Amino acid sequence: MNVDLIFKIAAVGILVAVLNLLLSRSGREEQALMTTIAGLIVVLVVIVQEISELFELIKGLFGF
Amino acid sequence: MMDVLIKTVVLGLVGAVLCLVVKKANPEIALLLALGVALVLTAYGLGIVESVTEFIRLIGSASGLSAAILSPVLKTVGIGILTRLASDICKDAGQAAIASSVELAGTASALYVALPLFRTVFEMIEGLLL
Repeated sequence: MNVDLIFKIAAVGILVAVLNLLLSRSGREEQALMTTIAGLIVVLVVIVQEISELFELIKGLFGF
Repeated sequence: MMDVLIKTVVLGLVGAVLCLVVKKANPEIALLLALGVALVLTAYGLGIVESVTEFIRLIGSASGLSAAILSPVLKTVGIGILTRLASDICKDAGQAAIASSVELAGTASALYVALPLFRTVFEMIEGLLL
């Protein structure tokens, strides 16, 4: 569990927002949507690993 | 201990502000960011809880309680923490129906974990009556 995770996710969010804005301003709405979805998937993969780490921690801690 | 507390408070506030920043552009990633902050902070908190549970186990073994009696209590605490976290995240996403079904599953599994305790009490009462 590290603090970097929070800043990583926030950075991905802001980056995706900027890219989304750029692409939709230049009239490429579908690519903007794909960018949003790609960013979402990247963040999801990171979060899922973190969730499994928390599960392992709780399993060890409360004796499951 | 104080170190962890300060870290948790600061991280929570920073995470909340970052969520607000990201939320304007894409609310989905803001929700995942909130989940990430919650996971990291829970892990910090559980780091302290570890010594508390060790102490509880020590007291349990010193007072002659069997592990079969003490472990359902600890397991229920773990189930409660996880269920609460998941259901609150679902509520933040605006899905109250998913949140309440997560809570239902958590309640059911907590009851299931506590069944051996009920059985012990039942056997005790049976032994007293016979």
